[in-house]
Amino acid sequence: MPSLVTNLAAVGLVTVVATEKPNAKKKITALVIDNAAGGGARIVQIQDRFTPSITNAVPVPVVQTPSRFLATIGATNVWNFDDKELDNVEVLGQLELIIDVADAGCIVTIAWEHE
Amino acid sequence: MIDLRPPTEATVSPGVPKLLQDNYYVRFTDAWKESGKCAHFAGNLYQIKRTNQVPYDLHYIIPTADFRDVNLSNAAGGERIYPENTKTLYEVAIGFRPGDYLVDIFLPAGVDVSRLEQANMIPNLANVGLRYLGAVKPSDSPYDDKRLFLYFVKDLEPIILRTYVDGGVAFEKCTFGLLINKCYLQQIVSPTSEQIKLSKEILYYNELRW
Repeated sequence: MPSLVTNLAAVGLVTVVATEKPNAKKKITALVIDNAAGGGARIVQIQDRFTPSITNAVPVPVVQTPSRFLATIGATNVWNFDDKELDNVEVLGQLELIIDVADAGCIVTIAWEHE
Repeated sequence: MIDLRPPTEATVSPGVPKLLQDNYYVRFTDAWKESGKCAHFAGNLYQIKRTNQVPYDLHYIIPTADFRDVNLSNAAGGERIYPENTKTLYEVAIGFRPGDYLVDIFLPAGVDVSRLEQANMIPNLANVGLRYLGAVKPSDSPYDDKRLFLYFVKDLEPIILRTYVDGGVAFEKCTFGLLINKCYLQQIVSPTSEQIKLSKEILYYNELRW
């Protein structure tokens, strides 16, 4: 089960977490958002990114970026989301984290497994 | 031939292999005469001289209430899972990763395999009830316990797996785990009754639609 610790200082606000195993979904199993050293309250999202397959109704699919999880974390707070809150959070394509304001003090620990 | 095997109700010891093995016999029924380019298999019995198992995954992301026709043949746009050698039989075990989707089997394109005898009882994705008629769910053939078996020879008409994402999710990832058991065949020109009795019968698809 992979995991990653990253700050959310990315230019463009999007941090790419995982791109592996296109033949499986990514199921989020743990998420800790440590905003203790953050510059203020932050909105953190888990975002999915994929291009659907060609289908009967959509012969020319375009990239989709649905949000899978969103939380507002107050300044100095640390939030730990357990498997009950994350139970149905699945990512079909590339797993990304997004923050509303780039902040090197906002640290995310995220773990996932493949289904 | 299409074979969706039910969960076992009893265990046998020693265990029986799921896949065709070296030295097994297979026999194509006379109905293969109707198969056009594959008619030369009709009524013949073969011994499997060698096997080789090749795993392969196919995956698609499909929007809700939409479908994709997954063509397993070697035709343009197909997934190229058919043999090219006239002495090869592919036994393909398919299992599905979990998800909110259904799979209808068509052979050839446009002709569904699963139908009942009353005239209206044919699979129909536009109908909220008939959508589920004959549809294979991921739980029917799990990825790690494959129970859906298809048998392919060179130039067989295309088999289509119509993969439909049911409501409740905006998009679904549909992953098919394939285990392609390549079997190299040697014909037994004058089989004994014992060889015929031991052989696995390979039905032609029309025999499923009497």
